[in-house]
Amino acid sequence: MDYTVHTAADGLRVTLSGRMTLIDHEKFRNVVDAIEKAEGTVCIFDLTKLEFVDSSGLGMFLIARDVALPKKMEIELFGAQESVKRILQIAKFQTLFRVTP
Amino acid sequence: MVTAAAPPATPAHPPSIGGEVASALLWRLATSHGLRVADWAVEAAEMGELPVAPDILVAVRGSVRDIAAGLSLGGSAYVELDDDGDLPGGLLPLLAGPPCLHISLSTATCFSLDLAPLLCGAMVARGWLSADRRADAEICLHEAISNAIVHGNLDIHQGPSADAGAFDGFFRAVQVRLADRDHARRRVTVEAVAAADMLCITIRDEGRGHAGRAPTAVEQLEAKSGRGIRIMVELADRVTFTEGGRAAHLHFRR
Repeated sequence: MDYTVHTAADGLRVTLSGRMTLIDHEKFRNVVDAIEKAEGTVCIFDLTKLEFVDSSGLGMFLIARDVALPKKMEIELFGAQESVKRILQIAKFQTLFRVTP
Repeated sequence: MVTAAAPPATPAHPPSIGGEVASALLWRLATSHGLRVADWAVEAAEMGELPVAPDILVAVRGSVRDIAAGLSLGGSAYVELDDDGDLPGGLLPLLAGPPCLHISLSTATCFSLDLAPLLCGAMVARGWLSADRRADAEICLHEAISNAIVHGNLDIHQGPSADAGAFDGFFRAVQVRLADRDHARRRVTVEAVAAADMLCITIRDEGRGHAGRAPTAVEQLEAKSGRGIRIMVELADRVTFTEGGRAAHLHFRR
């Protein structure tokens, strides 16, 4: 997995690409650190270039949520490809995150 | 009168074996299992200089290049040799049956590779798996392999479900166990058998097994782990566990 983090007026934009699996924990820790330091009301994960996410990757999104919620920051999962979207649906992430097309 | 025992039946075309290992080792394996030695060099394979891969490709240390090249040239088995330097017990009977794939790796190597896309690509190329089921099969196989590594061979049964700190601790535990030789050398085996109407992929580990139940409780929505089996059950046509949870079987209709 590769990632970029950009600060926006209302929060953060995180772009993920490639395959997000168990081995990406250390990289994702950097994303979580950025969320911890960020100001604003929303963190948008751009998933348009994310090709694959496994159950460990789902757990990482939940960690991001745990860090963002106490800061009153919402996590949005944007633009997931069909195969990624299916995994988000199986995990019922639409009940935990704002999931947008 | 004493009659000599009939010699074991020899197939007309015994499977071939090859690999970039010591030639003495290759010949010992070939002789002891009645195999033919075949040429193999991964660079030559990648350059298109080898028409086919050996049926059984062996290596001292498994590599993505070797597996990818072997699969693309029609190989049926890839074995990262263990300390005994021998082939897995069930391999040769498996090769005598319907079309199959067999991959046997140490836990350390399996963790370092992204095996599921390689295998699913090969199964699509061989016509065992339709392209529109590839994504389903890939995530199921990936989850089953992850379970075999982490919960099976690395013997980590407590998932990172409590909080972010527990999640970090979980990954530290994975790294510690991978650095331990006894855990790291345990086998992960993936076998795919393409029967007429069903593709069955079996993932085996050498851990202590599990009950194989999928978590269903609504309160687990926010848990950081425990979704692997749920994903498999949702996306495969059938999921079963045998051998006390040490073997997961993923079934996909063809």
